[in-house]
Amino acid sequence: MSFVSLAFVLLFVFSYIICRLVQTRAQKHFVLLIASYIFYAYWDARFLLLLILQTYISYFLAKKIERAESPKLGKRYMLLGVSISLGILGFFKYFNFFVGSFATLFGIKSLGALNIILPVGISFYTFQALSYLIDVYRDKLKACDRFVDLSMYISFFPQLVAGPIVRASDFLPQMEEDRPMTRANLVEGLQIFLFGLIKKIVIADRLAVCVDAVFGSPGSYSGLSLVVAVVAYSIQIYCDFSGYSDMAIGIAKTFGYDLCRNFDMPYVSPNPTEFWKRWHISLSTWLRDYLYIPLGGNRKGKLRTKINLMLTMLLGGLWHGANWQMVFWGALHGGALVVHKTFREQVDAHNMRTSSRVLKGILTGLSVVAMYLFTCVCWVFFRAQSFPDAITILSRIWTGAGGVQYYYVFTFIFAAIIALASIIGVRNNQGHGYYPILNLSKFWPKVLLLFVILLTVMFFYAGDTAFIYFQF
Amino acid sequence: MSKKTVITILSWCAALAVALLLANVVSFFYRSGAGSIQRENAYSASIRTPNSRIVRGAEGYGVNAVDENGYLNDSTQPLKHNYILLMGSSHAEGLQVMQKNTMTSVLNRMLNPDERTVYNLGTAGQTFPLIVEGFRAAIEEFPDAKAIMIEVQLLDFSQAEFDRAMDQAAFDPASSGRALEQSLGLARRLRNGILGVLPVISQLRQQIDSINFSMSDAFGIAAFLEKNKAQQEAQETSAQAVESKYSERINRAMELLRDEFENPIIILYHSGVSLLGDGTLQVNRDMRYYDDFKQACEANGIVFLDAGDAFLRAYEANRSLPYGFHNTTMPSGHLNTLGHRIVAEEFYKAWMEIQDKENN
Repeated sequence: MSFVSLAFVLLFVFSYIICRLVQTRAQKHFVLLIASYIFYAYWDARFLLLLILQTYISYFLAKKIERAESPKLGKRYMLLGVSISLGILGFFKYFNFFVGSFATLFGIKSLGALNIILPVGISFYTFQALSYLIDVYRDKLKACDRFVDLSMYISFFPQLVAGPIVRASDFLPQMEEDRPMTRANLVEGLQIFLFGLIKKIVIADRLAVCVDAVFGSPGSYSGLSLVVAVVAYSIQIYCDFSGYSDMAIGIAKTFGYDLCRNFDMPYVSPNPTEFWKRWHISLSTWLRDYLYIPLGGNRKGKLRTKINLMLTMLLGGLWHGANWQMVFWGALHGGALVVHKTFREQVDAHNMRTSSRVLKGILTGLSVVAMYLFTCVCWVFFRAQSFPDAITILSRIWTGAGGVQYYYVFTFIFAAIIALASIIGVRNNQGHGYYPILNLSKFWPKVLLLFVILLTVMFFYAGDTAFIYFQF
Repeated sequence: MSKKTVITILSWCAALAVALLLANVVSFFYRSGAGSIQRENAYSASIRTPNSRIVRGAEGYGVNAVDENGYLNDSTQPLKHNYILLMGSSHAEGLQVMQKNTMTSVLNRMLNPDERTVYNLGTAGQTFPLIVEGFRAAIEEFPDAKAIMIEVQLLDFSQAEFDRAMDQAAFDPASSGRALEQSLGLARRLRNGILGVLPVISQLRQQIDSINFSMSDAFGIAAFLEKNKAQQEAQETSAQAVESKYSERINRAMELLRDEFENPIIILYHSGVSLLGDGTLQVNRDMRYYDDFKQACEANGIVFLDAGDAFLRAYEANRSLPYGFHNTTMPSGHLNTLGHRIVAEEFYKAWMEIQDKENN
């Protein structure tokens, strides 16, 4: 079930009303769990069983970890849980990729491929389940007493299929509190939802029209048209994914829960380190806490730090999709992080920091532009249908090749809007984004809200475009 | 109801009114003007609201004038006594480009910049079977035509369409644009007036219609209904009498055109095109029907033109495409300014050849 459907509106309205009517926290959790299962089963009821199985394994093994007589035994249970979860994810998402890559590597004609359907959201809920198990093992969290509570955390429908990847240590404590479903929460949540909805159906879906056409036949378009399409994709993927996150955050808010921020104006980042603090924050922090730091983080010397960074980003790339393009995309970002870390080390070692505010401002501005251009180059590998296509796009841009002139008008309009929003964020909130929540007790904010809703209805893209991150 | 509640409701209503007015201003420049009037016993089943103006910005951008007959024509110059009728679909109608760039306007400038030679009967949705169906009525409504040019993009012609097309209706003068406009009741005039000053209503309605479809689709209802409809149609088709072959049908349709109109008829076929991965342009001629259609034209003294080669030449010259716009996709959708110009040039060349033959 997509957020952009009547079925979802009905599910939301009914579950909201019932949650307002029930008397206890436990009842509310149960209602939300049923709603979440309906939400998930709407795609494919068979995979609901997988979700329940995954949840039960986490529930059962977390209990075992907590009751383990020795830390060694607890570790074994934790490793067993991690292995099972990753095994399920590996089978559904990576089996064909690894078998195919193995066959190619050893020149084997065909090892056959299984007809495996990727369960929607598996990468997201698996990571949530892992965070729960590991946090229980690390003693940061108590194991859930009630299966319903853990199930609701893992399958909470706003963030189930495309994030944000909510940590058990952030969410389970909220479930233990009385989280009132107030009118203020409803108004704020719905405004955040609307904000995300506009990003998705007005901006991202419109830009998809241009992106799909140009990336489908890159050899036909002029270098400049390809630049416009790459910029369009950079905006599309940002608005698509952050739009979904905003919708999830908004819906959760209406039920009284706070989900973590997943995006924070990533395109104003002056360097790769900053970019990954602003882009898909819930994934990058998850990878930091459950992969990079356990690998040794920056505690084992400079070289090992860089290897750890690279490994983390390679796996981060693989998380996005089972193909070598995604791995390469991760490697590019990993490489950039390593270069930036080395650069910072040199700057610190040689005391090269400038004290001039003007020079600092110019350098930051240039860094933001350079980082954006680098991100766009990486997006080419992320979006192109194949490696040769990605190379074609970049070489045609580089050589200014002739071809069909296609300058999609909406790219310029939306780029201007994003740039303006970024400038406002930089000026008003110290470089960070914020939700423009309107005070609806006044007249003009009401007009503005209704005008925005009318414009959304007038200009949303009526075609059928799924959320990009559903495939991950 | 408390006073506070009443004030809140009034405040929201006032805010909605102001927001609607603001959105309406946007609509004026994006999508406004000219609804349609349904009719019977005439060339087309509907015409645009006569003597109005249409703005469309969803695909390309066009500001076009509707004449007293309900068709898109620039009436600033007088129409020649013996004119050429241009029939066709939404491509010929030309809502997606500015009036001066439509094939009709380009052709008019080529033929004689000082007067109008071509009269545009282009109507959205008027495919070739519908053109044949309304052919006699068109000639009766516009009896002074010295030639007819027909723009087609689809060559399909089913048995059911053929049966309807062969049953030619005579033109009813009460169905002319002028007569229909005069016969409009007060309620209809009021409705048109409101829609005219509040284009936002039409735009919202159109978008909401598409939401309805998407939403019913979300529940699988649309797919279910579509499946049932397809099954029903299949059953009806199998129950019908034996169908004639396409070649026979199209030949009889062309015979009908020839019998109804003795002056030159030119049919221009412009198929869709697609860009291939290697950067070449492919013309997607519908080869299921192409040869039969062409032969039927030639057998009945109708000039058949194919714009495909001209599209390829334009692409090879400077990578220009005949379809698509900078606010939609290339090369899909309607003919763009270049496409209109190419079609106009092809019609012009064919017409000049006919004139030369007649003069010699």
